[in-house]
Order: sequence, then C-alpha cells, then structure tokens
Amino acid sequence: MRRVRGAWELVRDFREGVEDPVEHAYKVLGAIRAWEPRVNAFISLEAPELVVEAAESVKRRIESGERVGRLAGVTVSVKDNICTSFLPTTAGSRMLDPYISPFNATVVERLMAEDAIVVGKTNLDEFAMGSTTELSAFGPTRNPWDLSRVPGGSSGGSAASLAYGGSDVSLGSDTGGSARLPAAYTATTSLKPTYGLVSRYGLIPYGNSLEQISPMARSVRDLALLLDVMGGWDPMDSTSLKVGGLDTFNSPPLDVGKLKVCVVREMAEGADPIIESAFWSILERLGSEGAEVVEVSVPIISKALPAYYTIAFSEAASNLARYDGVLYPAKGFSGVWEEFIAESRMRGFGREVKKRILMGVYALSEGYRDEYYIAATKVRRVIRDEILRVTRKCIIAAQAAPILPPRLGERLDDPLKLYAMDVYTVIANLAGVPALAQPIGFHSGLPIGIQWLAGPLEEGRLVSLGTLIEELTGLSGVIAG
Amino acid sequence: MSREGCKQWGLLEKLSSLAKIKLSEEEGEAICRDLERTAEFLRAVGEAARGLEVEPLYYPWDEWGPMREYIKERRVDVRELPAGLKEGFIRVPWRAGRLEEG
Amino acid sequence: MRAVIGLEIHVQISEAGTKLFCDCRADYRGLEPNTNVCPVCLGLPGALPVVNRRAVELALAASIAFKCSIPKYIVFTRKHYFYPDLPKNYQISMFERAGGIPICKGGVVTFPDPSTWEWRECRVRRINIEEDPGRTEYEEGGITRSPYALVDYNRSGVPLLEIVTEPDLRSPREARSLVEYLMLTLEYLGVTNPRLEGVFRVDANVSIEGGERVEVKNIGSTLDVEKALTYEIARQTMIVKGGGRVERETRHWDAARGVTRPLRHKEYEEEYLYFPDPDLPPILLRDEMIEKASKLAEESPRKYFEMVTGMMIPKDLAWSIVTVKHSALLFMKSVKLGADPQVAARIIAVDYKGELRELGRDPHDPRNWPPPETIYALSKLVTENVYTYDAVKGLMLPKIASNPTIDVSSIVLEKAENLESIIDEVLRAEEKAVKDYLSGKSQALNYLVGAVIRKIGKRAVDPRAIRRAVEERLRKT
Repeated sequence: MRRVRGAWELVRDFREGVEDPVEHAYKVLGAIRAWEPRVNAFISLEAPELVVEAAESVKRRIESGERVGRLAGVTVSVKDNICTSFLPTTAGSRMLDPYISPFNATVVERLMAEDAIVVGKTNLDEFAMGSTTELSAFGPTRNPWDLSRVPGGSSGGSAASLAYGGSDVSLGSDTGGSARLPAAYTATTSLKPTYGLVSRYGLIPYGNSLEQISPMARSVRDLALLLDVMGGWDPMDSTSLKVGGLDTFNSPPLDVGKLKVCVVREMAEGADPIIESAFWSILERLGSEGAEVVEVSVPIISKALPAYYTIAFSEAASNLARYDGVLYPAKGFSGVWEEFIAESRMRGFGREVKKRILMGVYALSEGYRDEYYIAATKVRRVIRDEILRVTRKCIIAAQAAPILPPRLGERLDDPLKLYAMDVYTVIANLAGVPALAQPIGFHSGLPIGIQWLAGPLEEGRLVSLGTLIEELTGLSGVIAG
Repeated sequence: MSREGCKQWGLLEKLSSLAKIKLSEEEGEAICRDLERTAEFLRAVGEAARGLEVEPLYYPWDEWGPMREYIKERRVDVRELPAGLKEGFIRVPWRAGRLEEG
Repeated sequence: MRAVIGLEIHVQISEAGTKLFCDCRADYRGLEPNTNVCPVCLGLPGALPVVNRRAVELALAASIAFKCSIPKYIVFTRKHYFYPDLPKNYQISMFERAGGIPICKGGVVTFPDPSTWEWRECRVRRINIEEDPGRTEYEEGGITRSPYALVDYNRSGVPLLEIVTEPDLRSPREARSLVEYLMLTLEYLGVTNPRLEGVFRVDANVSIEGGERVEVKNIGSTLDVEKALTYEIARQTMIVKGGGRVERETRHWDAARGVTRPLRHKEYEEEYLYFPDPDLPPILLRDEMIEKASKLAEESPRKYFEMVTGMMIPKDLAWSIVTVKHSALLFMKSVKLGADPQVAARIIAVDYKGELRELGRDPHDPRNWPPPETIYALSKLVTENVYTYDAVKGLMLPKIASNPTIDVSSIVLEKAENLESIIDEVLRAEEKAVKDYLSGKSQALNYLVGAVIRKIGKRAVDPRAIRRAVEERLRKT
C-alpha cells in the first residue's frame, strides 16, 4: 500500500509552483505503462505526447500568471460509456468497436473546461451490465490489490485505474452500484449523486431512470471537487435538476455530537461476517465519537433487487434497440433487412446483454407488463418513499458489497449470484438519493468498503461524514503496490 | 437453436424475435436456462406489488420536465458514422425486409 | 351500403420552427439527404431529447380549438418497432394505456359540408404529440424487391400531431371534408402549412354493415381520402354481396394505381413494448401556456366564415375567401379600413384570385396580395362612382396582381388629373365633330369619346365615365 496526494492538493501545489504538472503527468503515464499489461483498466489511451502537451500548457499558463481551471493538470480517466469526440467510445461492446462519438458528454466538456487532462477511456462490463468488469468485449479488468480478483463493476476500469495510480480522478457511471461497488473493491471512493444533479447527456444509457454519472476518486474531498465541476443543470438533459453553483468541496465539518446514523437492517445484514464486523466496528467508532446510531427496518427493501433489475432490464431493452447495424459498426451479413439486423445484434452484443434485453422485452410485453414492469415501478415508489422518510431523520449506513472481491470467473456462471452483488447499492438508485462508498479497512490485503445514503441533494453532508470517516480510518489516497 | 433442457423454448423464440436478436444454438441453450431462473427471481416484484395501492414511479422526483425554446444546433456529418452511404442516403440491406415473405 | 369511417390523421407541426426534441429544422424540405440531423434525431448513443415548447404550445392550441379536455400534464411514452427509418427503433409518442398522457382527450371537430353549408360534428378521441420517422426510398424494384433501402433522416424527429377521430363519418366525401377543414383550421391556428409536400398522412378505419373493420394506411391527400375510401367501400360491398366476409385487416393505399392492397409485410406488429420515456419527465401545462394557446385557438375558419357571411356576403363567396387564410385576413382588414364588404368580397374572392390564377401565382402566398389599403382604395373608387366595378376589375386588378405593392393612387391619379385637358385638346382638334354634335348629330359623340380614349392610350379608362365627361364638357361649350 502506498499513499498519494489528492487531486485537490495537486491543483493547489501546481498553482503554487511546488509541484510540476508535467512531472506529474509523466508519473501517471509511467504507472499506466507499468500496470496496464496486468490490469487492463483502459480500453483506449490518449497518446502520451498529448497528455504531456496538455500538462505543459497548464504549467506554462501557471508560470505566466494566467488563470487555470479548478482541475488544472489533474489526470482523469473516463468510463468508456461516456462519450468523447477525441477518443473512441465503445461501452465495452463489440457493437461499438470502433465508434467515435461526434460529441463530448456534458461532464467531459465541463472537466476539460477546468483544465483536467483525459488520459484514457476505462473498461466496463458491456453497456455497464455487470458487477465485475469481466463482461467486457475487451477482456476483464483485474483488481490491482489482487490480480486474481475482479475490481467490481461495471466501472471496474475506472476504479482499477485509480487504485494503481493511472489517473488522479475518474468518471464512472452508477446504475445500481456500478461505481460504488468497484470503489468498495479497490479502496477508492465514489459518490452516486442525487438523480438529476449530474447531466446524463453523453452517457450511453443502460437504465435511464436509475443512473447517474458518478465521480470516482481516492478521497472524499476529490469526489466533492469533481462533483462541483461536473454537477448542475444542463439544458440538454430533461432529467437534469435546476441547481447550480455547487460547493460541496467546502462543506462544513460535521458535528459528530449531532450526527444521527440509521442502520437499515435490510441493508446491513447478509454480508460476509468479515465485512459485517468491519461495518459494525466503524459504527462503534462513530458512536464513541458521540454519534447516535439506531437500527431501523424497512421490509420492502427485500424486494429492491428484483424491482431494480426489472426496471433496468426494461429500460435497457428499449435503449439498446437502436443498435441494429445501420449506424454502428457491428453488421450482419444477410441482404434481407430483418435478418441483417438480427445478425448485427447477434454479432455485436455479448451474452449477458442479450439476456438482459430479452428479459426486458419480457417484462414490458403485453400480458407480463403489469406483473413485472409496472409492479416494479410500484415497489420502487414505496422504496423511495421509505428511504426519503428515513433520510429525513438520519444518514443511512449500509454495506457496499456483500462479499470481498471475488476471483475472476467465480460469479459468472450463476446470474443470480452476479445480481446479488448489487443488493445494497440498488436502493439509492431506486430512491434517487445520493450515496457515498468509501474504504473502511482491509482483510488479507483485500479492501472493505461502506456506503452512506443521505436525502436528495445532501451530497454536502455525505462529503462531511466521509471526510470524518477518512480521519478515523486513515484510508484516503491509498493505492496498491 | 435447440430445445434440449429448456422448458420455455417457445417464449425464448418469441422474445428473440421481438428483440430482433438471432441466437446461436449454444447461446440459445445457455440463455434459456438463465431466463427461466431470472424470470422466477423477478417474479417477486409482481407478488410484492399485489397488495400495494400506489401509483407507479417512473421518474424519481415530483418535478416537471423542462421545455426548450432553443438550445443549439448540433449538426452531425453522417459520413463520419460507420454507415453505408449512397449519394447522402444511409444505405441499408433491404430485399423486402423480411425472410418469411421474401 | 352504409359505411362507418374513423380517421387517424398525422399532421406535421410544420410551424414549430425546430424538431420536437432537438434544434434541427422542422422544415426539412429541399435539403440534401441527412444534412438536417444531429445526435438527438439520429438517436446516437448518449444524446437526450428536450421538448420543443413551441410544438407543445401549438398542439395545445389545436386541442383547445377542438374542445378537448386538457390534462394537467402530459407524458411521453416510447413505442418500439424496428424499421430502417426509425433511428432509435422506438418512436416517442404518448400511448395512453402505458402511462402516457396525451395532450387531448375527447374533443370534437365541427366542419362544414360545402354542398349544404351545414355544420357537422366528428368526435376526436385523442391527440398525441409524437416524432416523425425519417424517409425511406427504395432502389429499382421498389419496396418489394429493392436490394437496398435508402434512408434520409432529415425528417426524423419533426413534430407530429396524431389526431384520432371516433368512427363518426358516414361517407368518403364527408371524410374528405373533415380532413380539408381540419387542415384549414390547423393553418388558421398557425400549427401547420397544409400545402407542404407530405405534411399530413391519413389512415382510415372503414367498415360496412356486417363486416369487420379494415384499416387503410398511407393516404397522402384529401382527394385520396375520398378516393381510397370510395374504393375500399366498393371492394367491401362486393365481398358482402358475393356472400363473403370482410376480414379485419390492414391495407395500403396505392395512390398511383388507385387501389387498396393488403400489406405484404406484417410491418405493424402488435407488441410495441410501450412505457413512459425515462428521459422525459412529465410536462406541466402551465396556465400561461394555456392562455397563450387559447389566444391562438380563437382563430378559426368558421369564425371568419361567420363574420364574412354576417356582412351579407353569399356563402360560396365567403367560403372562397376563408379557404385562403391570407385573403380572409385581408378582407377583414380592408373592411375595417372602410371598404365596402360586397366590393371587397368580389375583388378578393373572385376577380383578384382569378388574376392570380391567370398569372400562375400562389394565392396562399401573402406576398401575392396587395395591402388592405389597396382594397379599400379600389372599393372607394367603385362606391364613389369614380369607376365602375368592371373598370376596376378590367383595368386595375391585372396591374395590381402583377405588382401587388403598386400604389393605387398612381394608377388613378394619372387619369383623374389629365382627363380634362385631354378632352379639351381633343375637342379643339376635332372641331368638325364638335360642330356635328352640337348641331344634333348624336353619333358624333361616339367618335369623340373614341378619340379621347385613343389619346389616353393604354392608361386606365372607363369608357362610360369618359362619355359622361365629354358630354359634360360639350354642354358647357
């Protein structure tokens, strides 16, 4: 384990001239060169000379006293389901290999406007459908903490790049835990924002009503910095909330004496005993610092997983209908249109994606819709209302993952086991509320994470709490090796 | 595709035809097995919703969607997309569209 | 045989400026293929729709005009089917039974029967706002044999109204009148331009007694509405008379051959996997917007028809004025300035329109019409007996039609100022004829009038007025 400085400290040091952004860029490129052959965190990498050039430009502007952005010289990796016009965007699928988007996602534009340097596009489960980053058309990503294990998914490439120092911060996406689960598996952090706080324009959709582009980083303060830059209203996304001027970075420190933490039983039980014990011990620490910790029960949460998957599959089946070989690279052979598109889809999609599309079609089809899709949206309403009720009183403490990072291949043959990895994380997506994942310890060299949920637009409270936890655990800015 | 070991073969065929996804034999068998278990797993929501007197929730917030006057024109040059082109048109294999009638 | 007809009319909101969900142009005509496209209307990964306020406003105006019940908010749904012209392979629409909320439910269109001038009613079941797909062309062999389909997405995403009527129509003629009047109404509201190529398409459901309902798709003009339905009713009648049964089916109108044909492909599957579009939260129809739309909805051809006939203008003339929106506006403005309604109506509805036809100019183009001041001036010339109507018609309207902005006084004044002196000149020169006339040879007057007209040349003259003026002048000598 090594320790590195946070992105927010780097920017400060670059600006003050105590640190050289060009040297830093070389360091990051060096880490990528050293680790990538074993980890496979990236699907495509920016040309090193362009990365260096961007760093030189930042350096030059700082030296000549020009204004530089809030992320000046910070290297960022971007999940490959977020559109960039300067690097391919594949969503981890053969369907989009190769595809170059004609536009940048709003978040990418905002990051670059603050002088962040994109180093590459990170690996993911195809179309973000998976929890291990094994289901990519570009091969699995391995966990830098233990190369025989998965980094979690679907934003596993982003998490892995952070865990070995291949970027300072990263953009992931979180549909049902896709950014928080990898964070928990790699001793990094991620914050799934309130639904609508971050523009989805340019995010290749999987489950539109559930997902948010999510900042990923090695410290909670870096998450806040990133969120402040990328968040806020975007006229190009109808689901974007009309909020702006975010300043979660400067959230006031938490008064532990006034902190109330609720442990929702259904979101704490059922995990590996090693994880449970880490979970309860950090809550005990909080309690001894003066926080009030109470247990509550929300029984409907036991139905969250099937509700979540029903909605996600349904939306996915719809979103992925467009990939028919007409405008995208994967193409069938037949000269007959219907056969051609069925072949294009056979060739372009991996098995898990096909399965989810078929399940989504099933859940939406006449005769099944009420029992599946509509039923799931009703369960979702109850879950949302319950979570809003609880988060009005307290911050929810929950497990991030039910097990330690599994070995490659371990979970793949049983879909239900794969889906169960998301059992604690899908709640925040169903309810739309923000959720933070961060490390609280290690077991045999494997990271253990925890998750906190707050009310809508209470990202600031999560940042304050997360910073406090970092102080208690000392787990901030850690990287493997 | 083969029917072996798959009780819901008819359903799988219907779904893959609706989804316009051709399946290889091996894939069909594997997916069919998973499909049955997954449908069973998802069935829990139908049961859970049965007693609920609530409206569906399609969008998490009780917020209204926006309407735009004008944002910006974002023209795309289709020549930059991986599509077949003929005199500016996107060219798609056709031949009457469907096999069964073609 | 008694027929029951219901229509499903797709009308482009061509006046919305931009497409329904992006800022590409709603007016795509005449552009090179695939040049009016962006990530949104191509459905590219990551692009998101944002609703065009103007399109909703205009749809709302139509809903108010058709006396629909207006919901508090609207909800868009996705309708899935695979077709090359549908880039997302789903269409954003407003399907009611899957969480969608259309902009109109339960309205009525009141439309005239131009042969009897009676107003009829056809109930509207609902109106959806939805996006138009792209356009597909086929190479040699057409839709059945072409090896390739050629797709142009310039039209993709253009806002459409889908207006579904109840089966209240009883004849092909009536169906045609409804569509004509509906389109005219939408033009008055500022929703659409009915004359744009392909701006509307009609699907008709038609059944005769004892038969199932048959859907006829792809009718592209009001004339074809009548033709297709006439054909289809005759076809169904033949089946029934021959002892057969009319089965429920979907047929295609082949305008070139004038027949309906069974759809060769099951292009319209039953399973559309509807659900609310998760990219588009419900949209509240705020009071300000309803007020604005209500203003637009005040305009209707019927309102103008009644105003015009209220001025004792015959109904056929009134109808002729009203069917050209600009001419109705022009008529009302001219009358307001003080023009005589009868004169203005004759000019606008008959003779000026006739001139435009002769010149091959579009009467629907406002630039081909003079300002109301001109109509008023002409009317005044007639009512103040400066000219007869025929003189205005014969001598002035052609000039105005070929130059609508011409100053009327320039045509009139020229003559009024010179007439006296020309007459004096002619009388001085034609001493013999003057003497003849004064000595009682009345036919000499004709000669003198002719001489004056010749002298005036090709300028605007009314022979009767000149005759009067010459007589007057001679009386003074």
